[in-house]
Amino acid sequence: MSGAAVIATLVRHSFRRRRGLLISIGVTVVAFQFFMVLAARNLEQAGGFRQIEVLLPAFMKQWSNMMAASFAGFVLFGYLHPLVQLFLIATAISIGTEGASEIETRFVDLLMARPLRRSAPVNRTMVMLITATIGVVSAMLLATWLGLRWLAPATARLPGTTIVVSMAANLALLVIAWGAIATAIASAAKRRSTAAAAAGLLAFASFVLDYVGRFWTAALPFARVSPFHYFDPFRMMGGQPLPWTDVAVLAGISAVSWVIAAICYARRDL
Amino acid sequence: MVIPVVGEPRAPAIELRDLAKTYGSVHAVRGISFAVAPGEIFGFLGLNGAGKTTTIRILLDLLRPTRGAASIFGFDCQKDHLRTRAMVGYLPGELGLDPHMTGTELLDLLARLSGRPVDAAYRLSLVDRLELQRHDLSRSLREYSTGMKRKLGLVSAMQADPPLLVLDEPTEGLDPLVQRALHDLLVDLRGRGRTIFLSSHVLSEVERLCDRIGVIRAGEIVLLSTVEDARRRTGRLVRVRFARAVEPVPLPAGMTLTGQTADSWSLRVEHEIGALLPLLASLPVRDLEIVEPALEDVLRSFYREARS
Repeated sequence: MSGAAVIATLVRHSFRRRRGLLISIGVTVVAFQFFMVLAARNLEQAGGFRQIEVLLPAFMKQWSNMMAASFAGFVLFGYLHPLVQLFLIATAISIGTEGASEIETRFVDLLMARPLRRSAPVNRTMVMLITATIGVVSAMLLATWLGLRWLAPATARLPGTTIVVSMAANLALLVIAWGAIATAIASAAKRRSTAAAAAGLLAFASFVLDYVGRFWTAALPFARVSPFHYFDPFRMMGGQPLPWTDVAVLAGISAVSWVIAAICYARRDL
Repeated sequence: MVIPVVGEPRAPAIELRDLAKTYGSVHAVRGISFAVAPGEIFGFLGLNGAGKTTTIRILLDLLRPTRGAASIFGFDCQKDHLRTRAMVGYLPGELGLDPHMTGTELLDLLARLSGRPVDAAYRLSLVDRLELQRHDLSRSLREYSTGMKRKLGLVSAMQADPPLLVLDEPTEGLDPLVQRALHDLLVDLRGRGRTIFLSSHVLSEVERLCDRIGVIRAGEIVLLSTVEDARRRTGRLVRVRFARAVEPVPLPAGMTLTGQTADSWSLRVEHEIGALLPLLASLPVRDLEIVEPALEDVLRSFYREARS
C-alpha cells in the first residue's frame, strides 16, 4: 500500500470519527456569518453605524480605514472576531492532538502494529487539519457570499471579494499554524489533555502578547514571536493586500512544526 | 479460502539478541536473548510487570530498545519495521478500541493497513470460529462486552493470515468454550506453518498449546525450554503406601524424601523411576502412586522466587 493510500485511509477514518465535531463547527461558523450580515443589515437600516463611528477609538478608525464602522467592516468582523479565532483554533488544537489521544487510549497499538511509517499519523493529522480548516473557512466564505446576496440592503457598500478572501486565507493560515504547533506538542506527549492544555495556554499567551504589542511599542519586538502578530485583518480592512511576509511566516511555522512533530514521533516510544 | 504465504524466509520467526529496555533507573527488560522457530507455538510467561508486554512492543517497534536487537524472520524490527510488521498479526493486551466505530469498520480499517490481502471469506470463518455473531459486527464498539472486544481483536490480528501471530493475553475475558475454540484455531494455524508467540497467565492453556516456553522474571529470562522439559525439572511425585511400618532406607541418587509417616513415603524423583523399583521390591508395598508434575508447579516456583 502506497504512502498516499495509507494517509488517505487514515484521514478518512479521522474524518469519520470527528464528523460530528466538524459538522457542528461548520454549522456554527456559517450561522455566525449569516448573523453578522443580518446584524449589519439592521444597523445599516437603522443608521446605527453613524453612532458606532462616534464611539470607536481613533486608532481603530485609522487601522481599518474607517471600515470598522460600516456595513462592510461589520461583515468582515466575522473573520477577526476573537470568538471565531478561539473557536477555530480550539478545533485545530483538538485535531492536532489526535496522535496523543491514540497513544493515551492505546489505539496506536492497533494502528502502528501495521506496516505504517512513523510519519504516517503526523502526516494524517496535518492533512486532516489543512483539509478541515480549508473546508470550514470555505463554508464561512460561502455563508458570507450567500448572506450578502440575500440580506444586504441595496444601499450598502459591500466588502470587496479580495478583502474577504484575503482575510479568510490569513485566518486559515493562522488556524493551521496553531494546529501544527499542537501537533508538534502532541507528538511528544503521552496524554491528549496535557498536549491540548499546553497548546491552548501557549495560544492564549501569544494572543495576549500580540494584543499588548499592538498598543505598547516596547512590547512589539516580543510580540513578533506570536503567530497572532501575522494575522492583521485591520490592515486588510484598510485596503492593503495580505502581506506575503505574514503568509510566509505562518506557513513557515506550520512547516517547521510539522517537521518537528514528525521527528519527535519517529524517535519516541509509543 | 486461505491466503498462501509465499516466500517465507527460513530464519527464526523471532530472534532477540541481548535486548534491553530501561526507563530512567527502571530496567524493564535486561538483555534477553532467545529465538522462536517458524511453525512453533511459543508461550511467553511472567508475572505482571515482568517485561512481557515491553518485549512484545519492541518486536512491533512501538518501543525502541535501549540495547540489543530484535528480528522477525531475519529482518530487524527497527531497521526493517515496515517489512516485519507486514508479517505480524498482533493482539495487544490492552485493546484500545475506538468506541465510535463498528466492528466491521475497525476490521476494514486494519485490513486496509495490514499490508497483506485480506480474504473476506477467511475473515468470516474466523468470526464464526470465535463465536462472534456476524450481526454484532455492524454494532458500535461501545456496545461490545469485554469478551466480544477480545474476539474482534483476535479476528483483526488473524484476518490477513500473517506468518507470525503475536498475542498478548489472548484468552483474557473469553469464556471457556471460546477459549477452547481459540486453542483449536491456534493449533490449526500451527498445522499450516504459522508461528504463534503468545503471552499468557493461564498456565493450563500454555501447557496444552505451547511447544516451548520462556519465563521472564524482573526483565530476565529465567527459563527457556520445552513444556515437557520444564515439567521434568521438578521431577515426578511418587507416593508409596506400605502394608506395615518400614524403617527409612538410603535412596538412590536423584530421589528425595519429601514426606514420611510410619507406613508411607512421599518421594520426588528427578529422572527415570526404574532405579526405585529394586528398592521397593524389597519392601512390603501396598500401593504406589506416580503423579506427573504440572507446568504450574514449575512456574509457581519461579514466580515465588520473583516475589521473594
